[in-house]
Amino acid sequence: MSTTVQFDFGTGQPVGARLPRVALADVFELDGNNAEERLVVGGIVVDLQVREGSAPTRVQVKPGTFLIRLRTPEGQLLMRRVNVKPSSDTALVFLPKQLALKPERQQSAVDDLVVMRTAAPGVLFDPAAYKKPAVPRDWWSALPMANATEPVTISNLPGFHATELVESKYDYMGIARLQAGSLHELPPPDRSSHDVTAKLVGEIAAVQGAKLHGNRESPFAKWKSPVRNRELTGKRSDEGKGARYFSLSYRAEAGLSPIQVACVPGRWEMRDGRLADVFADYYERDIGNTSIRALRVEVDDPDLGGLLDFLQQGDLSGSTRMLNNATELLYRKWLNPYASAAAGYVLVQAGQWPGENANWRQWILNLAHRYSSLPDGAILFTTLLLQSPSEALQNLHYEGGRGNHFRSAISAALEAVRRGPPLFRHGLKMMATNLAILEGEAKHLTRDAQTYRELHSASKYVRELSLRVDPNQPFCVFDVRND
Amino acid sequence: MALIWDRRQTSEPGVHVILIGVGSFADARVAELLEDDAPEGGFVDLETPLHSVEAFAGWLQTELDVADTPLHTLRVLGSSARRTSSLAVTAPTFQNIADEVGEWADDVNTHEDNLSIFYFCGHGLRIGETQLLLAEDFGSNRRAPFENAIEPELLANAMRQMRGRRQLFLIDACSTEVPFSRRYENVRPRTIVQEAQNENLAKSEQCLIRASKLGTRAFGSASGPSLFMNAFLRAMKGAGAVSTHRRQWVINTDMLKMALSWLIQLRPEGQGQEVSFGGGTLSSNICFHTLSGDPLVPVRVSCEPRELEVVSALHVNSAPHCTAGNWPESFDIERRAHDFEAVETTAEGTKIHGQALQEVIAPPFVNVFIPC
Repeated sequence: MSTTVQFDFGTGQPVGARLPRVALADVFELDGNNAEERLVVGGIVVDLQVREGSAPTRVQVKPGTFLIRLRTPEGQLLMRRVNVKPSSDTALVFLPKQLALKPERQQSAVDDLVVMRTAAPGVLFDPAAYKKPAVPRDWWSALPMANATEPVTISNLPGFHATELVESKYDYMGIARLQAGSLHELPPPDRSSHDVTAKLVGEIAAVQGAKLHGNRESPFAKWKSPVRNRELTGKRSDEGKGARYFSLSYRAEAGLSPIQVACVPGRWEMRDGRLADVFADYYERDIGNTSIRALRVEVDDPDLGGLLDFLQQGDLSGSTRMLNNATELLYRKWLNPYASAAAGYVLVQAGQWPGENANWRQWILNLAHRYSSLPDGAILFTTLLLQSPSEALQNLHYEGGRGNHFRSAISAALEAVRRGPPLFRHGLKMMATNLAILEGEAKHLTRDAQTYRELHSASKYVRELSLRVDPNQPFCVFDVRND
Repeated sequence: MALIWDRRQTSEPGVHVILIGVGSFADARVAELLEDDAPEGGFVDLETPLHSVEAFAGWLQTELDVADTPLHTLRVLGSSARRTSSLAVTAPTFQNIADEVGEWADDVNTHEDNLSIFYFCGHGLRIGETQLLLAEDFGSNRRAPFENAIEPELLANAMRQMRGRRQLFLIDACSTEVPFSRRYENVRPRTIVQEAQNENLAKSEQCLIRASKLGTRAFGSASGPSLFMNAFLRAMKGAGAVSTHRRQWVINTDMLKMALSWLIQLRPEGQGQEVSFGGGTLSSNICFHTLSGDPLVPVRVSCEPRELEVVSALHVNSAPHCTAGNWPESFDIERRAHDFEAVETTAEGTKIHGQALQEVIAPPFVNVFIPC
């Protein structure tokens, strides 16, 4: 009979705290009166959100006494000692403690009436309790901006009913999903503050409101398709090649006031071919002496969600172990360039790892070249050009011949910047270091003043992105409140 | 001259350390610079940085044990508004820091098997994901007020070009966040080591550990080392250790990080202070200190319910450990299985309220609950 290892990462956590999605387990055999420990198996990925139809993690061991250490991306640690008795099945089965089901709400129209009769007048007319009449359905539809007769910016979205789509119970906060065309030139470095749209988003092609759900403390929106209009979004296989997507967090009590802009993935295809839910929710973020409602973007992918969590925590060894769990997924086909980019960050930084495929550098080059609206691939390959062994980059095939931007580090770095902010925050530091290397060389080694100016301007742009970005998230989320 | 230990042998691998403890600041100048964005409490002078670098320097000279890699250089820069150090420390102005970090980088670059350690203790702030560690003369250049600061991740990225493969960065400073505004869009700390092309991206082993995670504060004491440094030195006895194949216990940074957060949070002022890694390649798992024997593991023992601690003594392996009402916040104990008991002694005799028997005590720490 197998031995169940049960654990509960929710103990001691405040109500509403976000529980980890995955943990990594190390199993040690104990002997010598429990004084010696020997690693039996390390880095087992344990899914903490075992879903219907999925099997819990099992590890085969011999009978004996074991010490198990589990750690989450956020650094929580649990230890368990277990005895495995001789039997026909000596496996350890990892099971998270299931959350208790919420009792079903017993509410009906009659209850509502009772509440209405007994409520105090102040409560009846509380603006927060007031339910807004429904707005016309098409106000929630994707709104193309191609025919707009005035400048389209994140604070001026003609025809978008920003104030009508927000509710007082959510403090007039709203989320707009933006589709932008691919950029054609380096972002403007020295133009005035109203050009923040051009710096972060580029040319806005369409906007669509996202309905908020949840309670007033932590409202959230979710979607599978970034903009619900097939004509606008095109084929699934074109993700990462044309349009880019952003979420605009705003407050609109009287007019539209942008707060943050998040880089979000387009359609995120999972292992089984279905699209993952992309969540945008709010959390309380302390900035200096104030606390603000900040946007957080997450993807509900059981295979790669854990990798994103470890990546966010800057835990490279954890990320590498998570990547091992998804190797075959990443090499099998070009299904999801966003997930491939996340994996690329781990590959480029880890260099060697147990599941390594000999062609992974070619794979990064293809990601950079083919997915022309995804800056992350370009950043990753520039990093390889500047900081990895040169012999490792020999014999690569550069598609497109001379038109391939990734033959030299300078054109690769500038191409990465031209594509705008990276999807993953991790790319910003890489971009900054790549540009600092090239800028330093251009300053001292060449007489090409134009190249130096371009690099200097690109560095300044990336530095500004680094100052605006929320450092608590895997995706890039930029502060635009004070523009 | 910050170099207080110089046993350089360029043909042999060694440990190269630089410690920076910035304790005196021009608070008014910095407060003026940040206006309403200045963190609560401002940038007052600190006593803990000098204590911290002194304590760390002492441990490095007497305790550090890295296989076949002796301590070759130790540089210390430190300041305090109230006292001078018995160590011959140099004032941590930006220029002095830049000069000494430059010399240290040259030493790190001498051998592939070098281990390098960078430690900073003092004030820090953060705008977006740019962290600034403030030198003593931060804010002194009115035209470029943010330049006398170090951006630790960029420094670490630049250090990747050096031959010395193993590099440990310990950042013992607040990461209090300042909201982005147009006033800060040109913030740029000065370059200390110019980034350069290299082939070490996946070859070097770099680990950057922050005393407090992004956006939070790190704490210290006016009369001793910081919470981080206290926890670090305690973890070196075993909390941060893992067992190697040869059954030696070695401190590694993955285990150390978990131990540090727990040890810091034992202290009331450390609640909410959580240790974090730098991004990307700055979280390699580095082994850097071998224990001379078995590890000592910190444990926190408590009764359930806690009220019984008032009337019960704590016994460990059947021997009294502390009297009723005096249960320690935590203590260190050898790594193996132990018995813990809550024992009340009255005129009628002794009564065992609860037991936790054969509890396996292993790094990084253990919370023992005695059910009563």
